Amino acid sequence: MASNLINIILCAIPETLYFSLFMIFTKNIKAKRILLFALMFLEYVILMITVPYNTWFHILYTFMTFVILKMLYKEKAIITDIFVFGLSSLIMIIVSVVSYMSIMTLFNNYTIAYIIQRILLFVVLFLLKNKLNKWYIKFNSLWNRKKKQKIRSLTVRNITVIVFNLMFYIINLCMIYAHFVLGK
Amino acid sequence: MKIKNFVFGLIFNIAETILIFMIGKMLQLQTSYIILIMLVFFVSRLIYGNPKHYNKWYRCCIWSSLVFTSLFVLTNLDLLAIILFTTFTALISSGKADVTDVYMWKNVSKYQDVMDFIKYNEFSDELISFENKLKNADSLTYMLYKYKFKENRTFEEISQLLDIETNRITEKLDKIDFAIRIYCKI
Repeated sequence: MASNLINIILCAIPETLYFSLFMIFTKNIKAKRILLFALMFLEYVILMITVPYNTWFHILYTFMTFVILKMLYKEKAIITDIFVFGLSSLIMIIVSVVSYMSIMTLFNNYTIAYIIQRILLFVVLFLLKNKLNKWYIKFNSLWNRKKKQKIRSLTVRNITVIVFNLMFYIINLCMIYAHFVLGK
Repeated sequence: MKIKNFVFGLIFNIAETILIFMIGKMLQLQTSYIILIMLVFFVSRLIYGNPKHYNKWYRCCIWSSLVFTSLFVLTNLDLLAIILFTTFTALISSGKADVTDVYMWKNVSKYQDVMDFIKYNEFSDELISFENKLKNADSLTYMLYKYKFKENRTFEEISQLLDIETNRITEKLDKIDFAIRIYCKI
C-alpha cells in the first residue's frame, strides 16, 4: 500500500502533469484542463495497477489519452494528437536517457537521477511552451493534401509514422535495459 | 494504353512486394511475421478505403520500404502490438486519417468573419438578395451555405447530410466565401 502511494506521488503525478501540460500547450486548450489532468491521472493509475510497466503500458497510455481527448473535446481532438503525445514521450525518453546517464556517471545515485530527470522534463517543456502550438498548427496544415505544398502530405504522414514506430522500438529497448539494470 | 498501365502497375506491385519481403529477410525475420505484417497492412488499407498513393513509382518504392522497415523493427514486441501498429500505419496512409476541418484547433473558422457578418446582418437587403440568387442558381450550393455559414455544422455532418466528399465541400465553400465577400463587400 505504501509503495503504491509512493509510486503514485513520485511517478504518476509528475508524469501525468507533464503529459497533460504538453497537450494543453500544444493544442492551446482553454477548457476542461483540470478534468483532462484528472482523467489522464486516473488512466495512468488504472494502467499502473492492471498492466506491468513495459512497452504495452506506453502503447495503451498513448492510445487511451487520445480517447480521453476525443471524449472531452470531440471534433477538436484529431488523429495527429496521437503523434503529439508520441512527441511528448520521445522528449521524455531523451531527457531520461541524458539525465540518467550523466547523473549515474557522476553520482551513481538513482534518486538524484530521478529527481533531476523530473525537473529537466518540466524545464524542457516550459522552454518549448511558446513553440509547441505553432509547430502543431504547421504540422496539421501539412497533414492533408493541398496544392502547391512544399512537402507532400503523404511524405509528412510517412515520416511521422516511421518516427512513431521507431519510438516504440526505442521504448522497448529502454524497458529491457531498465529491467536488466534493476534486476542487477 | 489502359492494359499497358495495368501491366506496368502489376509488375511494379510485384517487384515492390518482393523488395519488402527481401528487407524483412535481411532483418532476419521469420517469414510468417513478414507475411503477417504485409497482409494486415494491405487488408487494412482495403477496409479503410481511399488509400493515398504517390504519383512517382520511385517515391512509392522508397517510402513503402521505409515504412515497412519501421514495422519490421517492431517484431521484437508481441504479435498483438505488431498487428495494432500495422493497422494504425495503414489508417494513417488512407483518407480516413484526413483532418476534416483544419481550422478546428484555433477555435476560429477561416469563414468566421463571414459567419459573424451573416449572424449580425440577417435582414440586410444585400445578404437576402445574395441568398435568393444563390438559392435560384444552385440548390446544393445554397444548402452548403446554409449548413456551414448559418448553422456552423462540421464538415463531417455536411458530408453525411449532402453525401459529398469533404474535399469537395472545402472547394465549394471557398467559392461561396469569395462570392459573398464580393457581393456584400465584407
